[in-house]
Amino acid sequence: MNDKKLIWLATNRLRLSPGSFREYYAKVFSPFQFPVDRFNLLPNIDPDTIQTVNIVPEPVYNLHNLTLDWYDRFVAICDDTAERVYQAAHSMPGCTIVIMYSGGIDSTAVLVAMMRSPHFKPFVDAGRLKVSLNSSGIYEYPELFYETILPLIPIIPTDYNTIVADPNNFVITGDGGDHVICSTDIPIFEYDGTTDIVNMDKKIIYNYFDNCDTSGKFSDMVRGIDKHAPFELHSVGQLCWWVSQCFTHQCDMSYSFAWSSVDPAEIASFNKVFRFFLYPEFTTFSFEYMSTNPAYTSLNSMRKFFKDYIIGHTGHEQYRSKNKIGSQRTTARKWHKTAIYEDLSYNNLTSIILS
Amino acid sequence: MNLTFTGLPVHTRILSHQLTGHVVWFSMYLGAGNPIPRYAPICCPDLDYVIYNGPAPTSIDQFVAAMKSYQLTFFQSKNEFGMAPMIPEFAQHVKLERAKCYAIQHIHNAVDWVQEKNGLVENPIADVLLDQNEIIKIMQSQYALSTENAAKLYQFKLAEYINMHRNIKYAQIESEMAIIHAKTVDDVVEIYIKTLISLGRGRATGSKVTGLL
Repeated sequence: MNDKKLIWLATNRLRLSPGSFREYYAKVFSPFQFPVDRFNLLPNIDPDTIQTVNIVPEPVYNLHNLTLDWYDRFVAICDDTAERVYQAAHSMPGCTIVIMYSGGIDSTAVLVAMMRSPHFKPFVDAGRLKVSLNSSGIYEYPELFYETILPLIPIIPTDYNTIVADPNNFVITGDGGDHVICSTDIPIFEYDGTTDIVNMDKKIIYNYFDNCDTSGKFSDMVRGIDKHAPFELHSVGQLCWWVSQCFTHQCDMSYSFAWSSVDPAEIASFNKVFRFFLYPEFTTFSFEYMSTNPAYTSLNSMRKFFKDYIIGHTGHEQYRSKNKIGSQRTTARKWHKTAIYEDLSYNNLTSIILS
Repeated sequence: MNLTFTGLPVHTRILSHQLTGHVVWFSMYLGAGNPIPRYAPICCPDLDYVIYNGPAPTSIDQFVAAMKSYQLTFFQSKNEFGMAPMIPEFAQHVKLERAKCYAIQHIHNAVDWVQEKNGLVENPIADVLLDQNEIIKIMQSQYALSTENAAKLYQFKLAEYINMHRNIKYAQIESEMAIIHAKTVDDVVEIYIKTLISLGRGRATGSKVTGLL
């Protein structure tokens, strides 16, 4: 995948061919969710769906003889992955671990995993571990910042391109954490006035799809994808998880470096950017855990493992009910009061013309 | 149709015909009492780009319709517009230049918006006249921090400010130069969309560039 391809990935999602899978997908999942056909399920259905070099590991899983120690497994995988990060850093003398931190559950879980390791203090003392964040990240989890990060760890502002371009930096990100436990696509669906439909029967979502596209084409496509699932899907949560595995997981991985001038081959190698939750054990965990149709009762419960893991280390119970802040991007896509300023001249002239 | 513009001054730039026969930037502030000089991106080096600050017009529908049909507009008298047809070859050229104008203007406004949204406009933390030690003392008091941690927080905030300010401005400079060198309207739209996405405006489309061409 070259730079041009990546930029095209980031921009071309806005140009949707009428009647294409992407158009319906954008209607349902918003234009930001750009489908990348990770498992090559739609090559003959929609040529607009993009095929790319897959940097998400192929899933390896065994759905037989599953045990019920899911949280313990989750903790063990987090700790083990942190250990792998330190081992990799040890093998690169002079490198500095830079953890991309936003205060959200994914990156905080990564930071906690790194902090739980016995290697943490020696690395910090040697000046070989930094946290990269922006001010929004402070607001999202102020307790962790003021009590732990500020006093203990060197901090630098988030500037992905500059950080990645530094040959001495070994960048750790929490990209893809959503895909481990379920999917962030679910909050966009409402049923009976609530978004907590994660554990309901998947037919509710098919009704929703039918309403979005009365031709039924989109529903048919999703049903076709449904048949390729590694296990029978029952709930909304499972279906959204599978759709996101097929289409958004790979896409999410490209966001961060779509604008980077660093060679994508180097980034894709994991030697430069280590995506914590792309570690193969997390994919295995994800497939095996989701096959059990976990009894999520709400969107919050979906994130329980991550929050339990974080709070288990920090003790900040209030983090369980935190509000999400769009802190991951330096310039988030929220339109606040000043949006009107940008649009004012254009809208005035448009209204004149239309009248 | 007579329009009365009230509220905030609205700044637009379009290509217009001058009495001298030149096509120039037409810069006006609708509803503004006194025109305020603003940064005017230069993107049409092969046309005369003298800035003209005009008075608030009392009738603009005729003016806009003429512009969209590629008639040249000019001031016939103090408050009256005149029109003249444009030759097709020139219209194509003007179309491209207009696209560049719209794109650069909206990117300029988007940069303003992003800067304000991120607290970069007149942020006192980056005021060179202020004593850093005083700011650190304030932070120490307000956040109940040690001197060392307050200094660390101040340095982080300052670095974040500089970093964000620079990146936004670099994006603006790069996009303006790329637009100046664009050969087609499609190129302009592509640069425009990429720039707005890089500024965090993921829903950018080319309609603002092509809507009035």
